[in-house]
Amino acid sequence: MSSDPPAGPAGIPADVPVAVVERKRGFSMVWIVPIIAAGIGAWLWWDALQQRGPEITITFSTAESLDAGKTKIQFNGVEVGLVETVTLAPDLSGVVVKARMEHGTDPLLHAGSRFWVVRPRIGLGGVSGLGTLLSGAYIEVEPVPEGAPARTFAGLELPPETPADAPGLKLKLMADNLGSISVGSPVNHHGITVGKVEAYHLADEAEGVEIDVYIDPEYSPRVRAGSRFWNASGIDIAFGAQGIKFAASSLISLLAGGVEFDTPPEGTSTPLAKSGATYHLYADQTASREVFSESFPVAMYFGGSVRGLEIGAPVEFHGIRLGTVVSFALEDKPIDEALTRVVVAIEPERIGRKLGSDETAEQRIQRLVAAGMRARLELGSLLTGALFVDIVLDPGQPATSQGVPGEIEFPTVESTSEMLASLASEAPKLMDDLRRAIGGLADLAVSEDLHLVLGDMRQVTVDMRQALSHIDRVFTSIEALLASQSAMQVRVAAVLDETAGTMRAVRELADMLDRQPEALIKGKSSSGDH
Amino acid sequence: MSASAGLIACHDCDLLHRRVPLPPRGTARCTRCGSRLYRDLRGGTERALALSLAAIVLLVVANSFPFLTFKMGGLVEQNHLASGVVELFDQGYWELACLVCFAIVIAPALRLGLLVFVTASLRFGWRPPGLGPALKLAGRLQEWAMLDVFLLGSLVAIIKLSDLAHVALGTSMYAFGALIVLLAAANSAFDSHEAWHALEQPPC
Amino acid sequence: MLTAAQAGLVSCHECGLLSRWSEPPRGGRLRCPRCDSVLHRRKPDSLHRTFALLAAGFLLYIPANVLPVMQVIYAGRGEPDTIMSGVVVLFDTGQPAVAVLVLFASITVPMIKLLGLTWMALSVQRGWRWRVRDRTVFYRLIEFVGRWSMLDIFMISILVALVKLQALSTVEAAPGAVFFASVVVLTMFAAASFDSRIMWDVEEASR
Repeated sequence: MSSDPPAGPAGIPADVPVAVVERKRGFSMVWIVPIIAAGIGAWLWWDALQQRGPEITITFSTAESLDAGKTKIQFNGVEVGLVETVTLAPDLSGVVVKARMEHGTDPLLHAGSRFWVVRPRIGLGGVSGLGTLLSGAYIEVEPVPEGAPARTFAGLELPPETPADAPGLKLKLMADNLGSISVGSPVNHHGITVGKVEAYHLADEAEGVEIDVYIDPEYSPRVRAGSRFWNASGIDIAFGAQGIKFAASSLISLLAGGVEFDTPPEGTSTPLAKSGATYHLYADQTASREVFSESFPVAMYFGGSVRGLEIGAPVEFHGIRLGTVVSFALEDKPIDEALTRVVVAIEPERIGRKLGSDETAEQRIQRLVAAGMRARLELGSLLTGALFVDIVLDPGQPATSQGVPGEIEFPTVESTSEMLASLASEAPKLMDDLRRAIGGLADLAVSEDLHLVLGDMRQVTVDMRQALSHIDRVFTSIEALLASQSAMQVRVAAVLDETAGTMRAVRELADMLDRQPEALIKGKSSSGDH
Repeated sequence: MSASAGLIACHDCDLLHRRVPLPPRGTARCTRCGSRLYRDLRGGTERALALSLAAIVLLVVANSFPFLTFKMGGLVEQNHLASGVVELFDQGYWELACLVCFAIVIAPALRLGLLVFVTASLRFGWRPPGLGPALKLAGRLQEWAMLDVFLLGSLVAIIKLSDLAHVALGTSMYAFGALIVLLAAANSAFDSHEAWHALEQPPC
Repeated sequence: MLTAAQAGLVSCHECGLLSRWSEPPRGGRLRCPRCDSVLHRRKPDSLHRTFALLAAGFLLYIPANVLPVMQVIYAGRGEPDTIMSGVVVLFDTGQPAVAVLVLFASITVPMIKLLGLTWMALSVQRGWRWRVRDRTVFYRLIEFVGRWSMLDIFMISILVALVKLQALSTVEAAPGAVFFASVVVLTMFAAASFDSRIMWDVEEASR
């Protein structure tokens, strides 16, 4: 055994071979990292590409409310695509919208598929949260079930109407006014949305608006020939002789407009409505109920002012509504005999009575008049000052009637208001008399019979005071009389105020004259101020 | 002017030291102030190259996919890594936009590109022109590539926003996290002094 | 122990190569034989530049913290946020950890940088010899941690990009952010322009 040469720092034995330096070839393990990274990156790219649906192009005439990268394309409330770019068409005829659809939306993209922009509104499904209010416009797609696959579409400017062969009911509503109804406004029946407004345009023949509505097939049997449609939009605030009426329908109708319909009892036996039928759109629910098949006109002649009377004001008997004021006009007569001819429609159905076959309307009215029925204008609403026609039993009062042949007439009597009005008009005359009296006194003061006059002054002032207190009492009793007619009271109160003011001035004059009779000549002395 | 081989001066205190071979993965430090003089990086160049390439892939991924998604009340806002730059610019703060753009887009991308260039050249023995300036620029950019700070900033932003509404992390965010890790690894695998030293040697 | 300067050598700041120093001719410069960078024994005008940049940094530090850096407009109401108020909000909303982080990165670090660099520059100017090694470590720390102050700026950039919900909520940057970013950048430049070796020169000179 040979001994090992000593190792250590002393020296390296000469026969120890020199190690061969091996240069590491090849790649170290670290290259796995970039390979993995590249692999993941590539996979992500490929997956994203796979997940991408087709890109489509839609042309619209305007890009209002469309945002590149934000506006969604929806189908039945599901997001199926996103608008990527919005650019002007090369010939400036419109805008070109490029959108990326979701994966798997090929079935929606046939040549006949329709796209339109749904601009911000409260959805038909209801107000679904603040988010939808702010979410902005979106593009809705209505696909056709078959057809050649397409990637370019011409967008519609308005949502399409339901196709003509759709199973539901398409009806026309004639309205005086569109109100707040818009395309897409709901059609409700007993509060449930059963259809929608599709389109509207000005009526061809008449003055008014023609509205096309569509009723869903499952609710179509609910519409009958006798059904009535009314505008249920917004808030109904009506000022009338009956005071203020306030009614609002559903929240959607409040904000987006809406139409409601129901079938009144007398219409339940009418046949089912057919597509294409035309209905009248009443202004509100009340109007829809107040359709009476029977009504006959009655004329009334009023001598006083009809200020506050409006067409549509009620005709009442003991507070029950009998009819409606249809029109009124000044009669062709000399000015000092001014008469207003008011025509009312009496609607017996209101009180559940129909004219029997045994007597005509004229006969019935004559019977009532003979019994003492008279017509009178009364103050209906404190707030609005509206008048209504009150039928009262008042045979004693002198009545106005013209007796024009060929018309049914109700004699009229003066209203309580009229009496007060004439009374109120008397007051200024009283004022003038007083003023003249005082003027006369002043003249007296500068005559030579001064001393006599001064002596008589005291007596005059006493008399004046008495007269004043008398007038005061008169007005007080008028006030009491008017206790229930507060509006009139306001007018009388105004007159009273003026009177009282004048009275005060006169009273002060009387007081002063009492103390300083010589003031008539010398004028007020400084110590004698009030 | 002759170069003194085998000597190195401390960067922070200027003290002269003798270069000695290091054990594997060893670090030479200044005897006076403790500053790092040079490191031993076995195969560091190759690692740096591989990691830089991976980082570039991840950088592209991180910029292509959505970064964060913010959902509040039905409104959705998605953004990319560099969306902030665009938005700051839109708001009129072009100075901030430029700074942020430089710090999170230009500097990192440029530095990675240069690193790949340099490490590949070193690894495969090329000596293209511009290698030196490339190495210099890469070194200067290291301070200004602030993707790691950006990551932390985005985490703080997420925390602040998650109070208000739902914040979802996008694909980009995960790629970004991995990117930061790779960047750190690549930086530690690369020692510029060694690179300069290697540059001096003839290619083999 | 010898510094390179004492040995008449100059170390290239780019590639670390030691070269023999000789005074360059008027208007000329020395270049590194390896990497062709300009050679300086010490960073040129280190103290001047550092002081100037620090002064600017101090000046801008005030508007950076006083002016709001971002404005959150939530449901129509705008709420400007300064750096400090952002920290307070984080505390209030039950995220103390994050609050401390932001506080550290956005307020503590810039302050440390500004004050620390000032102290170091002063130490050279006044010729202090005290704890020069610690100062060097401190300098390395400042260099390392400086960029993390950009945290707030990046956070703002993400918030402005993300919270763009039109009427509901938007975030806008505010002028304070520009000042703050400037402070961070200035301190980064200041740290880069300061040559820690001159602290050691003082130490050496006193021996």
